[in-house]
Amino acid sequence: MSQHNSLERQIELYKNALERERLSRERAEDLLESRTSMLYLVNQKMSSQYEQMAKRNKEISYLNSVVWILNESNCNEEIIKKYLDLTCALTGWGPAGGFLFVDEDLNFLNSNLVVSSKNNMSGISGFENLSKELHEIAPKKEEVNKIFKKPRKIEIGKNSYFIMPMEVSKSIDGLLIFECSKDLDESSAIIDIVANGSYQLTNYIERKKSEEKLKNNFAKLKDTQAQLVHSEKMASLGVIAAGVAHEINNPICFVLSNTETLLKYIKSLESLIYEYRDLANKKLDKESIVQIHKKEQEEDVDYILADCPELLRETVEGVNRVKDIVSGLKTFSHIDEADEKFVDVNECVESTLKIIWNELKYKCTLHKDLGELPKTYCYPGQLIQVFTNLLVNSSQAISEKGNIYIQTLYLSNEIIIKIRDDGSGISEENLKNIFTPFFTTKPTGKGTGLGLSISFGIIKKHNGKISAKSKLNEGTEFQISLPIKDSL
Amino acid sequence: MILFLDDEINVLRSIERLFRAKKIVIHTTTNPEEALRLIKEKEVKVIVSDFRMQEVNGIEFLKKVKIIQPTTYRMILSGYADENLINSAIQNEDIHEYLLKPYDQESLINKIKTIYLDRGGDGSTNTESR
Repeated sequence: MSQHNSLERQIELYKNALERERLSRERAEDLLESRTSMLYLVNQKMSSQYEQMAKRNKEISYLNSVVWILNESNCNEEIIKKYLDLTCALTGWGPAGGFLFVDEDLNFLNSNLVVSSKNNMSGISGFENLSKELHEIAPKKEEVNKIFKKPRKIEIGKNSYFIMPMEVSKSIDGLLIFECSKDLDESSAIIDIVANGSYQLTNYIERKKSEEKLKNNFAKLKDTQAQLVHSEKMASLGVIAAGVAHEINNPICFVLSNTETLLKYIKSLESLIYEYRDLANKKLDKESIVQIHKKEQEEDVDYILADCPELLRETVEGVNRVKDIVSGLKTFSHIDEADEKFVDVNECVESTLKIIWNELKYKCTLHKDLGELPKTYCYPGQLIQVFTNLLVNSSQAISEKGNIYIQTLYLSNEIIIKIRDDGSGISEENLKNIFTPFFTTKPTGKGTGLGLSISFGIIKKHNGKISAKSKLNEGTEFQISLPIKDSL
Repeated sequence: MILFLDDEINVLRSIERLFRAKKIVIHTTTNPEEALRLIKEKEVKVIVSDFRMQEVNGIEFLKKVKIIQPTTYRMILSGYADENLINSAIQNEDIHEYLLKPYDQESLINKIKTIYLDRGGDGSTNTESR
């Protein structure tokens, strides 16, 4: 019995053990299931995150590409076309086109059209038709600005289009148009990405536009400056032209008159020679000798013979003077010469004096003290323009009679040029402004107000300095210092 | 007397030659002071002056002549002169006439001769001392 009992108890024990095992297996299975499903969920989540990351990646690479094409492309049309292609590739939209408004009217019919590479569906003619449709929706600037201010989807016929403005300088310069699916969600994230791309694009176009404007303005400024320099030169020329006219006309006057006189002399001598020839064939008698003497007196032949060398000497002198004046003018016309030359600045001073001596000599006594100078690289024509300017100013500051002192010297590797007059002088107030463009105390039409400012510019270009000291009623002194430049 | 003033001796020499050939006696000088002295001392029927001279400008000079001897016919002979100055000088009767350099020999001599005779110059100018 006891054996039977113990068997039963053992069976009981096994049963219990079995039950426990079953329960724990069930528990383990449950656990496994829940873990598996958890794993599955995690997996799913990861895969969706991966997808999102891939998408993000695609978007970032899209934006990167947009920035890249901006830097790599030459013209706006090329940039826009590449942008359209990139965007079509990212979104699956397309074909796409960009309308660039030509004029202020923002008229679709009068705009440049850029089409994406993917244009098989509607093609260029499709976009041209589209421009007509759009023109009907928004015929003028006002409507365009209102309807397309923000990116939006519109339906035309059977098709849907996603449209973004290209806003440059706060006004719409063009539109980017993508054929898209009817159920494009206007609030979807992709719209933001694409809009960001178009923002980069328009920003770039705007920057390029203002750069171009800046470049144009700069070119215009340079042009104006050149014109001003030229007109100043003309003004200086005007001042000396009067002197030159007088100075050339004087020698021409006596050269011309002398030449005509010489012609008359020749005629007199000629007629006398004929008389003598006649006489040579005749027998000499007293009467014919008296006759020929009378003829000689009539023709003033002693005077003519004595005067001929004098007349010719004066005439040659006159012609030489004209030659000198003309060669002086030639120096002046070389003012615009672009090349630096290795010259003695004293030569520039001498050339200047040659040109404007006619202007100075009537009222100024010139005191010249030109020291020995080393040669230096400079723009000789421009220095002549500066010296002309200062000397003409000095001469104009002298009302009746006065002195002009020109001194050059070489001091611690610099060439110093001093031009001083004892004319009317400049007031303290005006002295501050003399190098300011357009500042002049001369009456309208007499001075451009540019002479000294241009001189200032020229000296600065030579890395030199120009300064002025002056006292009213005592005179003015300009000092120029030019550093020696012994190689180019 | 016919008097020429010019600061350029060569111009005066060319004019002297011209008038000598026509046997008309003229006086010339490069010095305005000398010219004024002559005008004070002698009857000068015609004076011809350059405009731009080192000492004085022609119009200022002829204004002085006008005061000393108002009957003198006053002319400017110049290669260049400020037209405005010339015109107002003519209007003020400071000068009578403005001739241009270079001059034409025939017309200069005819003009001077006519004026000289009009002002009572005695045709036989060659008798006057040079």
